[in-house]
Amino acid sequence: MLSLKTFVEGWDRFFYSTTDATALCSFRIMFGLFLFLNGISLVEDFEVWFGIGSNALVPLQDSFTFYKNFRINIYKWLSPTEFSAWLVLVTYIATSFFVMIGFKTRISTIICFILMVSMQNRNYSILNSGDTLMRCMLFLMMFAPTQVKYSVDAYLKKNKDEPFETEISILTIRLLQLQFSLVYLATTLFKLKGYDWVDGSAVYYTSRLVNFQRIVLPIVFDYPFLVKFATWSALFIEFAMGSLVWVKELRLPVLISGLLLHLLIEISMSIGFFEWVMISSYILFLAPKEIFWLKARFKLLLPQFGRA
Amino acid sequence: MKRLSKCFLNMLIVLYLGIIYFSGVPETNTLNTRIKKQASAVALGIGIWPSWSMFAPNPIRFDSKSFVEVTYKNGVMKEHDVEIEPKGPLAPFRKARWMKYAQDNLRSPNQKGLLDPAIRYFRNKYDDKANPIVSIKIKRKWSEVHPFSNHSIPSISKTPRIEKNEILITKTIGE
Repeated sequence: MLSLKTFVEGWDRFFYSTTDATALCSFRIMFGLFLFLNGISLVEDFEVWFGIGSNALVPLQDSFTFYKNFRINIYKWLSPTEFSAWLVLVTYIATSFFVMIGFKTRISTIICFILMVSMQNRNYSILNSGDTLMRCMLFLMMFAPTQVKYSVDAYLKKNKDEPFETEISILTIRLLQLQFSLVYLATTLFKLKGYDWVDGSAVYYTSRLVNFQRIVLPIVFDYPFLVKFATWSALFIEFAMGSLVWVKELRLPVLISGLLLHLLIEISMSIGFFEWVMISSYILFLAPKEIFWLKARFKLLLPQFGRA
Repeated sequence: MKRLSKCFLNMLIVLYLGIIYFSGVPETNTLNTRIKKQASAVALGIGIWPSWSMFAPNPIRFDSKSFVEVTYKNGVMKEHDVEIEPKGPLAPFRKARWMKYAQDNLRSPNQKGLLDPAIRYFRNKYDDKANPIVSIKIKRKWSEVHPFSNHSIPSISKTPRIEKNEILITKTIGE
């Protein structure tokens, strides 16, 4: 039986111990890159999604009346002009770049979050799970000490002989990990409510959606037993990412299975930023020595690319 | 850490976890349903509303496309895909947005508010001063995937489909 004291000690160890900032700061760089690419990818269709008047598919005024309750939406306080609309996007792109390089990191992350939520509230009709994931992760990043390593802020501090403490509280990393696990757990629970995932036919249908297809994998999805194996494997891996990833001995095998699942989905289907943000979040589950190992392998690979 | 601030922090952690859990997972009982309402309101307000029902509870079984049919004064009729085909390295991300808009939301009975602005937008886009538009239709065409069978399934590249279409809105200009 678990005593209250043991529970409190476990809670404290889980949320209040300290850890090296390598994983969090490496994640910031990758996550910041996707935030930045997200902003850049909005530029060409900007008039259509966020423009003013009949240039936009969702008029600005409609976006205000769509929600009854309070929502963060900076457009409400700005004048309804093309300039204001562009200002929001340009500022978002600039702050996401600052998040990536770690310049004025905390304030950049806060501004980036407010602008991202505002843009998503401005046009809800184009949002996919990648947008939702980025927004939820960015919320937690506002509270995380992501500037202490691999950042311009850290470089400037070091030059002033006041380097950041790189041993940080694990709290925000834990919350990011829990958010990450919840995505998998929730999607597993939603899938178990239906019958296609339970009877093993779901991947048959998803693989035949022409609109989503990227590379059509031959044979794999042409036999009922392979389709069932793929469906149940995907379901089990998602369940494992939401639960078994927390078991020390199973963490690495579960992460590798999850990575393979996402890469396979990314190769065969086109579904925006979701797969990439999920893959970059895996870094939060790695120990510093594992990240250094990856970094060393990456460095070994770089000269090879240079020679080629 | 001071006891009071730790207590406050613990409360915030529990509150945050409660919000993301109850707003993010499906309802399974009455209590869960009631809490989900409150949790979702807070999640929407602070910008952490979830949407994790990816290809669930069942994946869609059809490919859907939306089209704009424009009739000009001289009787010429033209059909345009609502989606554009983006080019460049960021094309997949742009395409994902167009797909969400044209394939999921524009056709949805819960999103009928999108149709009128779409009519205005496409009228503006395809109008010809010398030969004005007299009528615009937004319609969708979809093809259902042949049902799954435990015994044998058609090859991924030769799966039979059932073609269907419906008109979402028709607008005669000058109405």
